[in-house]
Amino acid sequence: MSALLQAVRRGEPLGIPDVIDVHGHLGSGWSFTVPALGPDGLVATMDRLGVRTVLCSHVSCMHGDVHMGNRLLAQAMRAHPGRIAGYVVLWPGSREEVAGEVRRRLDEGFTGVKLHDANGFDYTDDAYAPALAVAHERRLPVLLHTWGDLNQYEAVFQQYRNCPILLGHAGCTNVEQYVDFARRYAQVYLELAYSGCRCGLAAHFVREVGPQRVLWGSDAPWMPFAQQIGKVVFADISEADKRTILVDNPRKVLGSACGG
Amino acid sequence: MIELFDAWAGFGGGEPGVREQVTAEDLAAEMDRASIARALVRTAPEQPHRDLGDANARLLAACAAAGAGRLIPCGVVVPDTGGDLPSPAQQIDALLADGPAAACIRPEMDGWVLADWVADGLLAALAERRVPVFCRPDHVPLTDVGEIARRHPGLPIVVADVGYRSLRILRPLMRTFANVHVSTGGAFSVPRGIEYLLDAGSAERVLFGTGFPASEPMAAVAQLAYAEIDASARADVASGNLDRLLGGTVR
Repeated sequence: MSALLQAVRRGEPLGIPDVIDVHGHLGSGWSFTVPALGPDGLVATMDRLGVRTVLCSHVSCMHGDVHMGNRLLAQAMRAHPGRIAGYVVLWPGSREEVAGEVRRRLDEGFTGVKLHDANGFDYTDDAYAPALAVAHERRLPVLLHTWGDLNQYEAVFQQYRNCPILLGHAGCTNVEQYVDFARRYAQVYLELAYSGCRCGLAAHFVREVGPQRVLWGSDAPWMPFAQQIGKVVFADISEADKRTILVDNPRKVLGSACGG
Repeated sequence: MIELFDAWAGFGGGEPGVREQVTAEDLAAEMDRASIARALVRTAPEQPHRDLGDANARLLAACAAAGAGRLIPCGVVVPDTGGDLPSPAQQIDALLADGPAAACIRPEMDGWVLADWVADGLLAALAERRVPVFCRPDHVPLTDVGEIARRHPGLPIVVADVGYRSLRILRPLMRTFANVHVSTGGAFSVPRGIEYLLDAGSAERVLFGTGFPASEPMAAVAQLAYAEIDASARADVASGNLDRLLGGTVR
């Protein structure tokens, strides 16, 4: 048993420096119980596992309170520099509103953009264009909530090729479509957060698209950091590939904002 | 390292559209990798059984071949109300023929319902022998779990594959019915879920399970390993609670 697996079995910190989670959240309160960890609780939980940084969006990404969410996330980032980083979340009221919010939050130190279509708007919505254009121009990561049907997002992949586009919950369903899109678009990355922890998925992605295109995300605190990282540390891939997924890829994608 | 007894694992089933089938040897290899000592096993992925008795017999044979109590069978039971199956007592006797065992129910897949006039002959027989009965919310919604727990307070019921959006139902379910247990693994990606359930007064009724072959075993292993609970509770969840359940069966 590798040192990494032994650490997990014993509930000790992983022992890999600078593990970065590219898919976390701040905030609780949704249509089901989510523990109200708060920024301090989030960081304490990360310390138990040995996770250095979590890139968060506020749960308001799923509804209209995006300004409040971004403001609370900015506070958390200031309270925990280098441990909590932020995706700007947006409400596509108008191009001007989106442009103003994304500019303001990037000036505050946010790292990228997170879009979630639970708000009823497609990622191809015209109002999102200024945010995606800024990400494209500055090579900032864009995390998209996805759930299988990637064809609807292809126009985004075609138009914004300079920014890393992280497909959230990759492989939750339609596994081969995720592989296909990662092969066709060099800026597309497969992010692994998924409640069911499909057996063999991380290894499959590594085999099919290479470890450089796979990222670890937990979706914490909606899902446990520990459960979500377990599938990576146990994946039937080399220890080097695990490090690539947990440390090197996010560092490359996120750049200097996360200590890279 | 703490001993792990996986309450929710399986092999041997066929999934539509998937060529590869997971064998008992595949499961054993995964158990070795994750240092899981023992597993309660069912046919998974779930599939309809052409011959229920034969399917359970093959499961028992595979468990016997694994040796030394490493695999414990969790066979499917079905009411005999259609007149085509052995009586519940006979089905239970067959399951317990080689030693400890549990049962699982999949009403929709096996063509029955949980209404008392269909299910209670089977459930009463299982309760009489205190055979742990496993089910998934896909087959037995949590409201129905509560209903059969109320009708059969002596029946140990274990719900597995409970999703992360279920805490508002799951906690009162376990508080209300002392015979309801929950297994981790599979879709149980509830943050602080083990801690939440233990706080609900269910320390003896949370079982470690992985959900293999659908889910990566180490996901549930890590969830338990990092849970903020004391060593005694962790040991109970890891193996003690399932040992107690299986040990309570009347053979």
